[in-house]
Amino acid sequence: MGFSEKIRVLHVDLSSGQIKRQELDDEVSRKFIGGRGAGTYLLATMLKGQEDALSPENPLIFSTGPLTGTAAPTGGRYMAICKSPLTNLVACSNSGGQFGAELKRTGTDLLLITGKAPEPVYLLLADEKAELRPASHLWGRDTHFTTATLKEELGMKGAKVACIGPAGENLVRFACIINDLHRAAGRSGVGAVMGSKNLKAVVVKGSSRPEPRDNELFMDVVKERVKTLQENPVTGQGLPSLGTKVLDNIINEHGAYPTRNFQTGVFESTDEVCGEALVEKGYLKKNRGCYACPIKCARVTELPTGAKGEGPEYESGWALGAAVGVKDLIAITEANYLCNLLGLDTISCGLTLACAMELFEKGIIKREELQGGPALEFGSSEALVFYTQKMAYRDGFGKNLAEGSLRLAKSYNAPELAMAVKGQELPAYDPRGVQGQGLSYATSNRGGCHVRGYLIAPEVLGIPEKLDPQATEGKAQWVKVFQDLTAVIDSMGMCLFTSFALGAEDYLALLNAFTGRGYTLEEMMECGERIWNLERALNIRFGMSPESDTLPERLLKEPMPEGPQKGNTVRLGEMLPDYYKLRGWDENGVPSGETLKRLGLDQV
Amino acid sequence: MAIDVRIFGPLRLDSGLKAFSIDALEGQRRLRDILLELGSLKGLETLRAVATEGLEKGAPFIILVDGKNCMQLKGLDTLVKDGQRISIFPPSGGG
Ligand code: SF4
Repeated sequence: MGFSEKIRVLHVDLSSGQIKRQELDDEVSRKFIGGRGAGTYLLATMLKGQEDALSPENPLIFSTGPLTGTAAPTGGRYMAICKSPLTNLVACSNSGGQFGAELKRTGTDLLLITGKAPEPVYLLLADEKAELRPASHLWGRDTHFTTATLKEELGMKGAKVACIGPAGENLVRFACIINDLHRAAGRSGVGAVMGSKNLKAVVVKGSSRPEPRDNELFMDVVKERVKTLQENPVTGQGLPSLGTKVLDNIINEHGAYPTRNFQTGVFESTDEVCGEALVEKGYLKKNRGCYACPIKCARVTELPTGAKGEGPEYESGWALGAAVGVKDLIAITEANYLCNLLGLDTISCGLTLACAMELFEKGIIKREELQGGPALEFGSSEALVFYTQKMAYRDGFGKNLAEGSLRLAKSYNAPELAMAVKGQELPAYDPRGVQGQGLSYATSNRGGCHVRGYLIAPEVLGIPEKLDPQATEGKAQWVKVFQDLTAVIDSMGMCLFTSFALGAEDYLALLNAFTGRGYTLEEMMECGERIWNLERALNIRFGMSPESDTLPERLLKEPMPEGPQKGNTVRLGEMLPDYYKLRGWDENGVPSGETLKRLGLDQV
Repeated sequence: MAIDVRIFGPLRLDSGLKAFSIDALEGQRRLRDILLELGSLKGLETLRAVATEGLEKGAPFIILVDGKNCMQLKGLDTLVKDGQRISIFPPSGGG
């Protein structure tokens, strides 16, 4: 396959069964790079705003970046993009593994799925061939069974599968898409959108590797960056040896490890559940990497019970651990395996349960409502595993949990107990201990999320330089730059974790060497800014009110009760006006006409 | 008179050391001197380099005194007092 500047789209309409190939204009690649940017652009051209996320009108887009499937380090990422049934805003979930790279090898950059199939189907894409096939025999089955069965039936060993589990079929609002058994396009309910379309799986098998404009130049740039990643202590040693779970103790020692639904920032049992414990207890078997990844941060684990799988990673281990007060590493790992099998987002699953547990603790949810299930008590391993299963099937009290924490808490007139931003559950850092991360959460285009501007890097980890986590001055600028650069990395098709070692100039070198587009650094960063503003404008079209750029009341008003962050709240008001100004938005957070024009978004 | 020391991450796995206390001597000690002393222990040798070369490098060690990064205190010149706790992490990332 030669170099393709145009983004090659495969459009599958499930309602009519029609499959067509088309291309997006060169200008789209240039302005939006690919991946997250190009996919969101396409979404913006298709939705007016009021469409129901679970209706056939909502498209589901699998979008690879220009570097996906290439030799670029971690160049295997894809994005699942649609309107979110959890937030009613843009859903844009990134995943690694091998699927994205294989999709690219079929000669498709972007897979656009529209409509709804009359019966369950799966999509088979093998180079030129694209076919919808019946999947009724897989409906109701878990992600591992589905993946193994499809590979066996098709007799295609090297095929890669992305699929949903029962949670996606049952329209759980935070269902994910699982690819390659253990990797998830996790957040915002992209799996429920796939379920609403009766699409059980996508199987890809390709044979053509994407070619750079200038192969020699590209390989030189790649080699240098792989070396940088290997020599950096974080990406060369830290992440390979303990994975992301090295963070449990770091964040807990900082007093910012959200515990029991963010009631405190210190978990007394961190020693029992941390990354070090996973090694010391012998559950960690080895590490594994996604496509073309020299970092290999994934954990391959096995429990004394004989159960095997991958994970927990930091976020999942926390959400199913400290967030629900559970200190039993076996139960946490089992719940993590269960989420992967059933197709649930671990963060939203854990934090929805945590919300339910606090409602139960306060006597708001009554024992009789649980329909015979175990008490929803913080620390209960039994409740953790039981309700994880129940929510995927919307069975018993699981029906209430399947709606996510905000809808659950609202149904009890206690929305303040949902630790969510814009309806999406927050991840594993209490922003009362990290102010810039608080601003990043409040302004994230997909609600509660840590991978839209990871301020933990400078504020806690000292990368690329150490900032005072309690200072608010200057944080708006940091958040903006991180958000824009992240949009670039996501759109290129690389993994965000490379940014612990690589800087903007490195991404620029890789992007230019592959595409020959000759971006300047400013132009590349402007692409990031453009993508950010596009998402913002689209969210406003979807009905987002700018007042939702905030955090749960607890984090703004209740001082941290104990630990190193005792007495702190998030001082959002000191940062948000600055941030709006830097972004070129009015005081209500709406991008000004001038800003949109400058970014070439006035027509979108 | 004692200062609590906690070792984390790959440093813990390499040294087999987790939590212990060291003598606070006159009631307080400079962080740099503590790191030099710890650097003589097996598996913690890198702390010696940290003590001599400083923390300002690209991917730094994270050293907390009672949960506060020493960079927000007086860096390696921070005085650690009797009863305080030091947490030491090698350069780390995740998400
Ligand atoms: S760093 Fe981890 S998540 Fe990122 S591509 Fe590598 S193995 Fe996958």
